[in-house]
Amino acid sequence: MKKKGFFKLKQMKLGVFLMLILFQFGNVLAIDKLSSEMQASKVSINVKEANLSGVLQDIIKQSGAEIIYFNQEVSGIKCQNIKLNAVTVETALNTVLQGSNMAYQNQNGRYVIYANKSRTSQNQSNQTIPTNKQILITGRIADSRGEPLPFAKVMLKDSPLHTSADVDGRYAITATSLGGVLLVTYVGMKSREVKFYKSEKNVILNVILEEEENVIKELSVVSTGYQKFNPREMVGAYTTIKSEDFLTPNQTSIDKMLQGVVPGMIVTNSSSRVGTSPSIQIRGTSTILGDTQPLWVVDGIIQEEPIKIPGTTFMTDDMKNIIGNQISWLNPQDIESITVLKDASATAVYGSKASNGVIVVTTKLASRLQERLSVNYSGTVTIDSKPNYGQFNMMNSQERIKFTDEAFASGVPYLSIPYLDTNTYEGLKRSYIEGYITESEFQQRRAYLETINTDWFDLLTRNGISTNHNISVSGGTAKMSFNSSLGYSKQQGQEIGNDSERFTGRIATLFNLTDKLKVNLSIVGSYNTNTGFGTGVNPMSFATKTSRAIPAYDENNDLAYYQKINNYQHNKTYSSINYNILNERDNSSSMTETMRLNATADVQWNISRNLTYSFTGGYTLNGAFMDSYMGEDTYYVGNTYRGYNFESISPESADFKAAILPFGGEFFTNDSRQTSYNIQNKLSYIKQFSNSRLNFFLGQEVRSGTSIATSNTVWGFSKERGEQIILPTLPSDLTLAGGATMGYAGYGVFERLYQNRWKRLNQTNNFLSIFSTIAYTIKDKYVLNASLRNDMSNRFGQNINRRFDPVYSFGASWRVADEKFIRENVSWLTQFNIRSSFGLQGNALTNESPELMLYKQGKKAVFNQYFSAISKIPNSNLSWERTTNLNIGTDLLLFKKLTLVMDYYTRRSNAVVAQTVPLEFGIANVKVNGGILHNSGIEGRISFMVFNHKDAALSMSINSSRNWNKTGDNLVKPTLVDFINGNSTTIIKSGYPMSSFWSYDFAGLDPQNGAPMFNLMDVDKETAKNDISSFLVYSGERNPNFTGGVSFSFRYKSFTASTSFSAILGGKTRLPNPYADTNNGNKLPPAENNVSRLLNDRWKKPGDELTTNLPSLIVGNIYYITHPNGTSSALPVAMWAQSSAQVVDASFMRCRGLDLSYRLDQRTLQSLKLKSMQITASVNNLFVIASKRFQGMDPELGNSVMPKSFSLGISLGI
Amino acid sequence: MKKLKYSIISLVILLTSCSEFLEPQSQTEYVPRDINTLNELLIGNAYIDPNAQNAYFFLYHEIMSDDVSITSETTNHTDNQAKYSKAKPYFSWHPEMFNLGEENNYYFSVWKSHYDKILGCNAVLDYADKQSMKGTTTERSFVKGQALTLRAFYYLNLVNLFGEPYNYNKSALGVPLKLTSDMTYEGLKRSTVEQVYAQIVNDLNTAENEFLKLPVEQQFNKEARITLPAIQLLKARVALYMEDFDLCATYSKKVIDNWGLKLLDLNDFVSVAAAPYYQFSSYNNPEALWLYGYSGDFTRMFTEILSLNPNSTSITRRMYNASPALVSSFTSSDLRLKNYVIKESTTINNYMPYGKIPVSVTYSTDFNFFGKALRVSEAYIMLAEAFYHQNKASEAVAVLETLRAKRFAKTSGNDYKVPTTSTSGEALFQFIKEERRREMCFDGLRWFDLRRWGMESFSHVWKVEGVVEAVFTLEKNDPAFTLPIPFDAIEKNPYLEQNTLASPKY
Repeated sequence: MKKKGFFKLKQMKLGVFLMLILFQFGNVLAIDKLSSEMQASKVSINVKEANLSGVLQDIIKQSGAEIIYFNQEVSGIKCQNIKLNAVTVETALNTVLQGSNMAYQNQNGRYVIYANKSRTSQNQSNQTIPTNKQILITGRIADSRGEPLPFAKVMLKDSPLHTSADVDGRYAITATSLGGVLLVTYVGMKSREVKFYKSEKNVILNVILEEEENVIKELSVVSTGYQKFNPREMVGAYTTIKSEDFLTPNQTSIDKMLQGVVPGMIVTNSSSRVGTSPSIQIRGTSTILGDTQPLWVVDGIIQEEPIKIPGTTFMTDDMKNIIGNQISWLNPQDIESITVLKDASATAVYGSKASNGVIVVTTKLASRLQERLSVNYSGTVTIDSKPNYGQFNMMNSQERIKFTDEAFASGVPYLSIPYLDTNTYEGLKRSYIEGYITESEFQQRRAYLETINTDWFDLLTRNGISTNHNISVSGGTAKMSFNSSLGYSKQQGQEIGNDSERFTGRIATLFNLTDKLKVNLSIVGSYNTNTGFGTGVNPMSFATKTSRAIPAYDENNDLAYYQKINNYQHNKTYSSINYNILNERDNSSSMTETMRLNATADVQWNISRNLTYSFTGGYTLNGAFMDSYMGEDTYYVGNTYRGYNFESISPESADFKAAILPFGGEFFTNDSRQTSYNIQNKLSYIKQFSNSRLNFFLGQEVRSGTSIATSNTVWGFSKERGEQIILPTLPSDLTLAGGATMGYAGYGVFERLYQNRWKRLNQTNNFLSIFSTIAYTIKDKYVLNASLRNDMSNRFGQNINRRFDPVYSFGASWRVADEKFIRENVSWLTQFNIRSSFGLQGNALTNESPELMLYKQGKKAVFNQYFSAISKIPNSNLSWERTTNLNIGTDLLLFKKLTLVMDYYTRRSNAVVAQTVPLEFGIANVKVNGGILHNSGIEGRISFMVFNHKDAALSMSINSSRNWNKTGDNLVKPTLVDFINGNSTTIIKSGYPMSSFWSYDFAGLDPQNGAPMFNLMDVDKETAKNDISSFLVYSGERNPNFTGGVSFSFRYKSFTASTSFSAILGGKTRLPNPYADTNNGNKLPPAENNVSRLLNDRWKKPGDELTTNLPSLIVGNIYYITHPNGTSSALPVAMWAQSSAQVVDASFMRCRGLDLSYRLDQRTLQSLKLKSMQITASVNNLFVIASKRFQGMDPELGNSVMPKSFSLGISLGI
Repeated sequence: MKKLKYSIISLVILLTSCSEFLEPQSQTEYVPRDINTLNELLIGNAYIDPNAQNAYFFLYHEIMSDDVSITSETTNHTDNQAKYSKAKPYFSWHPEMFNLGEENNYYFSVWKSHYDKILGCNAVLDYADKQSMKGTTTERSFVKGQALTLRAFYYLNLVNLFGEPYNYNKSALGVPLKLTSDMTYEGLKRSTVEQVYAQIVNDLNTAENEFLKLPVEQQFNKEARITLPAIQLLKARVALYMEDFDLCATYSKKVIDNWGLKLLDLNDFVSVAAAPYYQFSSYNNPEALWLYGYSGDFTRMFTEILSLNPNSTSITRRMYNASPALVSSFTSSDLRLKNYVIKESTTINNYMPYGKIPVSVTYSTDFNFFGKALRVSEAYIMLAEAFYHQNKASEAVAVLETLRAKRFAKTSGNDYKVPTTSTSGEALFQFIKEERRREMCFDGLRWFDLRRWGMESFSHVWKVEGVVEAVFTLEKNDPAFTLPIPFDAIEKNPYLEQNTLASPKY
C-alpha cells in the first residue's frame, strides 16, 4: 500500500532523523513546551468562509496552542460566518467545529481534533457486551503535526499479535481477546498505550504519538526506486541522505555535491570548469574494462547514458567536457533525497547494470496531505574567486629570462630554434646574436620584457559570479494536489568566456481518483547552454603554462603577437605566424545547448488490501546541439588553411593563391537527439499472518532508447559577415608557394567531409527485464529477503543462448534490540540490527561478441570496392563479469542520540581483462575472464546529537570508509610502462591493488654533474627480465582507499552554523615533471613556455646535491640509461620524473564549506506576512590540507586549483 | 478483478512478444552470414591497404641490400646531423636495429603488419568453410583461394626476413605459424623454416586448386584481386627459393604460356612531362598479373632529405641513392635504368633507391594506385635460372634474350644478346644473377637473392656530409643476413627465441 502521499511526510520525517534539520524543528518543539503557558492566550477570528484547516492554523498562530488534527480528515470542511473576539482557544474550537462531525479533546494541554464517529464508536464499544467474535482494529498513526508515521509498530499488549503500519501510517490488526491495550511504538517518539474494548463493529483507533525531545528519530522509509521499503525490511547496505545535507550553493549539479557525504562512495572531480562531471566510484573497482560509474535512477526510472557523440569527429575537448552526464538536467532544488544502494541485496533489482552501485534520486512530488498553497523562493549568489600566480609556483618574467640566460650560457641547446621575434626573449636574443638589432636595442627590450610580468590570470580569468533562483509552489486538495517549480541558474566559469545557463521547470500532479486509485503525472523540462572555447584555446592552462615575459599588449595597447610555428602544407614561405591568446579566444568559440523534456505517469491501484498494482510510464526527449567556430583571424585557421597572417593581401599575391581559405574560417556542428521510453508494470502483494508478514513484489520493465547524432563541418564560415560561408579556393586554382610540395587535389578541403568530418550515428538499445523481490518478516524481528533480476537486450554481443543470466541475492536481518532480553536489560540500546546479505552481481560487457563481427566500411580507394573490416574477433570463452558480494552490517541507535551504521563487505570479481597478446594474433589484446579482483572494506556512518535545547543545539555526523583492493594472478607479463604508469586495463602484479604503480628508485644526484642516479640498476639481467619490478620500487596505488566526511551543525537561537569536511586518503601520485618542457633536461624550453620555479633550485654546482633533488640541465651528449633487463633504456631526467623522488601522497582533506544561516523569528515573519525566511552565507572550498609538495595545487585536480567560492542565499516561504 | 485479469494478460503479452524488440540492430556492425561479406573482409583485413600509411611490408628489404648507397653529395647543415642516425642501424645491419630505430622514432613493425593481415586471412578461412555461410561453391573457392594465397605471400616474406635461408639451414627457426583466428593468450613458438615453407607450399597448392574450380574468366580477373597466374608465379618463386628447379620451371612456363601475357617493350614508352614514368602497377601493363602494396612502403626508408647548404634548408639532396654498382650494371642501351629507377627530381639526376612505383609529374610518389605489380618478367628470369640448374644453358640464354629484346633500345642492334662469354657455365649463372638484379631491382627481391645465393660478403660505405666515415662489411654467412626478432614481438611473446645476433658494425 504505497502511496505517493508519503513523500510530503517523508520530506519532514526524514529531515527529523537527519541532524541538521533537527534544529529547524527545534522551534516546533519549543512551541510544544510553551503550549501550556500559552493556552490562556486569546483568539480572534473573523471569517466569512474558509477551510477549517486554515482557521485552525490561524488559531494556532494566534494562541500558540498546540492543536492536532489530520489534514485529510478536516479537508473539505468549511467554516462560515464566524466572528470571535478575544476568546479562549477552547471557545474558538467549539465554535469552529460546531456543525462539523469533528470534536476535540484536551490531552495534557494539547487539543486533539478527531472525527466524531470514531469517538462514538468507541463510546459505544464501552457499553457493548463482549463477544468472542474477532474484530478488526484499523486506524492511522501520526505525529503531533498530523503527518503519518509510516511503518510504526502496533502491538496487542500481552499477546503475540503485532503489526506495522503502512507507508501512510495506516494499520490493521485483528484482536480476539476481550478488549485490550494497543501498544504503539515508533523510534524517536514516545510509545503510547491505547485501550480498546470489544465491539460488534470494527474499531477505528487513530493514534497520535508525541515526539521525544532531544533524540534522533528513525528513518521512516527507504526508496529503492522501484519500491518503497520499511527500513526494517531492508537487509542490504544503503545510505539515504536528505537534500538539505548535501545541497551546496556553489554547485548546480548534484553529483559534485556528493563528495565526502556517503560512506563507501568516492567522488573525484577532474576539473574546476563549469559544466564538467566528476567520476564516482562505489566500493572500489569491480570491473576493469566495464564502466565504473554507478547507475542513476530518478523516481524509479533508469537514466539512459548521455547522448553519444560520433567517434573521431572534430570536436574540442571543451565540448566533450561540457556536454554533461545523465543527471545534469536535474535541478538539485527539486531533489527530496538520494539513496545510495551499495551491496548485492540492495542493487539486485537493477540487475547487471548495477554492479557499480545505484544512486536513487527521489524528487519532491505532490503531497496528498497538502492543504494550503505554499510558495517557496530561494536564491543564491556565488562568487568563485579568480586564480592568481600566488597559487602556482611558476617563474615571473625576470626569473624566466634569467633561467634562459643561465641555461644558454651553460651550453644547453634549443629544442627548436626560436623565431626572430621581439615579443619573446628567446626570439629577441636570436635577433641580437644574428645581428638584426643592436646591443642597446637588445638591452632596452630585454629590460622591458624582464619587467613586463604579464598577468595572464588577470587577462584570462575572473571572479566568476553565479546566480541561482528557484521558485516552487505546492498545494491542492484531498482529490488533487501539485508541486511545481521553476529554476534558473547562471554560472560564470573562472575563465572569461566559460558560462553556463540552465532553466528548469517541473510540475508534478497527484490525483486521488478514488480511495484505491492514484495517478501521479509529472512533466520536467530543462534547457541548458554552455559556452566554452574553440580548438586549442584553453585559457586556464595557457595562463598556467605561458611565459610571463611575453607581452599581451604592446606599448600602444594593441594586441601583441608572438610567433608560433606555421604548419600550413601548401605554402612554406612563412615558418611562423602570429599568435595571441586573446585574439584566439575572441575569434573562436564553442557552444553546447541541451534540452530535455520528460513526462512520467505513475498509476497506483490498490486492487485489494493485499494487492497493489502500479504502472510507471515515462518518455524522454533529449536534444543536444553543439557548434564550434574558428574565425579567420585565428592562428588556428592561419596555420591550417591559409599559411599567413590574416591581413589585407592582394588577390594576385602568391600567398593568396596558395591559401585554401583566403577568407573565412571553420564551423563545426553536431546535432543529436535521444528519445527513450520506459514502461514498468509492478505488482506488490503483502499478506499479514498472525506472526509474520509476506511481501512479494514482481516487476517487469521495458526500456528503449534511440540516439541519432549528426556532425558536420563547413569551411569559409565568417561570423563577421553575417554568418555566411565563402567558397574556398578550388583545387585547380591553388598554386603551391614557398617550395611546398604537398598537393591539393580532388574535392579539396571538402574531401575531409568524407574522412570523418561528416558523421552520423543511429543506435537503438532495447532492454526487457523482469525482477522480483520477496521479503518475509517474522515477529517484526527476523527478516528474510531474496531478489532476482534478469535483463535481456538487443545489444550486439549478447549471446542469445545466454540471455537468461539472472542476478540474484539473499539476505537476512535480525532486530536484536527488539528481543525481550535486550529491551528489558539494556535500555540504552534503542535499536540494534544485524544484517547480512550475499549475492551475485553481473556486468555484461556489451562490446564483446561470441561471433566474428565485421564493421561495414565505405569504398576502399584504389580497389574501388566496398569493404568490411574486423570489428570483433570471436571470443567464445568470454562470459559475464561476476562479482560475488557478501555484506555484514549493523545499525545501532544508542541512548536515542547516536546512530551508528556499519558495514563490512567483501567482493570478489571475476573481471574481464584486456590481455595483451602476442603480435602473432594480429590484434593488440584479447578480453578474457580471469582478472580476479578482491575488494573488501568497512564503512560507517555516525550521527550524534550532542545536545538539543530550546536555544542551542549541536549535532555532528561522521562517515568514513576504507577499501582494500587486491588483485589475483596476472596472466601475461606487464610491460615496463605498465609498471611505471600503472595500467587500468590489466593486472600488473598479483596481490597488489588495481591502481598500483612502481617507480625508479632515486638514489640522489651525481655530485659531479648533478645527473640523477638510481638504485637497483645492477639487478642481474635474468632477474630483471623475469620480473621488471625487480629494479623498481613500489609506489602505492593511485586510487584513494579511504574516504571520510565530518559535518557539524550548531544552532543558537535563530542562528545555525554548519561546516563539513571531506578527506580522501591513501592515494599516491607523481608530481608533474618540471622538466617536461625541456625535453627532460637537455634542451631549452620553447620560448612561449613558462617553467616551474622549482627549477631555480636545480643542481647547478657540486655540493648542491646535498640540498636539492632536482637534476641539472644536461650539457653535451644526451645519454640513455639502459635498464637491467637489457631491452630498454631511457633519458636520466625522464627516469627521475618517474622515480620515487617524484612520488607524493595525494591524500587531502578539504573544508567543503562553512555555512551560517539565520531564520527569522515568528513575530517578524508575521509582520512580513511570510511563513518562513532564512538567510544563508557560505564559503566553499575554504581550504585544502595536502602535501606541501603540491606547491599549492589541488591534489584532486593535480595541476590546478579549485576556486574558493562565496555564496549568499535567501529562501522565503509564503 | 476483471481489470486485474486484463493487466496480467497484457503483462504476459509484453513478456512474450519480444523477439523483434531484442533483435540486434546496427547500421554498421554485422555478423558475417554470407560468403560475399568475407570477400569484402578480404579487402579490409587481408590485402595490403594501398593507402595505409601504417602498413609495413617491404621497407627493410632494400636498405640492407647492395642496391642502396648513401649520397656522395657534400651536404652541410646543422639540421642534417639528427637525420643520419635514423636509418643507420638498418643500413649497417645492426643487431639492435629495431631498438635503436625505436629510440629515433624510426621503428616500423613489419612483424605486426604481417600478422595483422594473417589474422584477416585466417578469419576468412575459418568462416568460409562454415555451412551456415550462404554462397555458391564458386564464391567460396574464390574467397578461400585469395585468403590462402595472401597468407602464403605474407609467410614467405616473414620467413625470409626472420629465418635463415631455406637452402642454407632449413631446420633453423622460422616464424610462428598462426593458422586460425581463434584467440588464446598463450604465445606460439617459432616453427622451423622448413615447416613454414611446407605451410606456404600447402596453402599455395590449395589456393591453386580452389582457383582451378572457378570459371576461366574469373581465374584472371583484372580487378585488384589475387589471380591464378599470381598464384602460379608465387609457386614458382617458392620453388626457386626451395631450389626445386623442375617445379620452378614448370610454373614459370605456366605463367608465361597460359595467360596471354606479353612482355612490355620499353621502346614503346615515351616519357613526357605529364607522365614521366611508365605506370607499371596497372592492368594496362601487359606484364601485370597482380597489383599489390602501398607505394609509400617501398620509399619509406628513403624519404630523408639533407640540406645542401649550411645556411639554407631549401636546397636539398636525398640521403640515400641507388647504389653506383646497380646504376653502372645497366649498359647504356639498356632502357631499364631510366624506366625502372626514379630520379631524385625533375632537375636532380641522382637515382633514388626505388622504382616501378607510380609517381606524379614531380616524381613524388602517387598514392592513387597500387604500389607494385607482380610481372611476368619475373617468370622469365626464374625460368632462366631454373634452366641453368637443369643444365639447359641454351634454353636459359634464349629465355634471357626474349626478355632483353624488349628491354634494350631498338637502335642498339644486338646489345640485348647475352655476351658469348656468358652463355654457359658459371659465367652464365653469374649473368643470370646480374640480369635478375637489373630486371627485378627494387621489387623487394634483392635481399632474398643475396641470401639464397650464398650470403656473400659485401659492404656499405657510410658517408657523413659526403665524407667517408666508416665501411660496414657484411661477412659471408653473417648472422646479420637474418633480421633479429623485433623487441615488441618478444616482449609480448616470451616463447619467441631470438636469432643469433651478429656483432655490431659500429
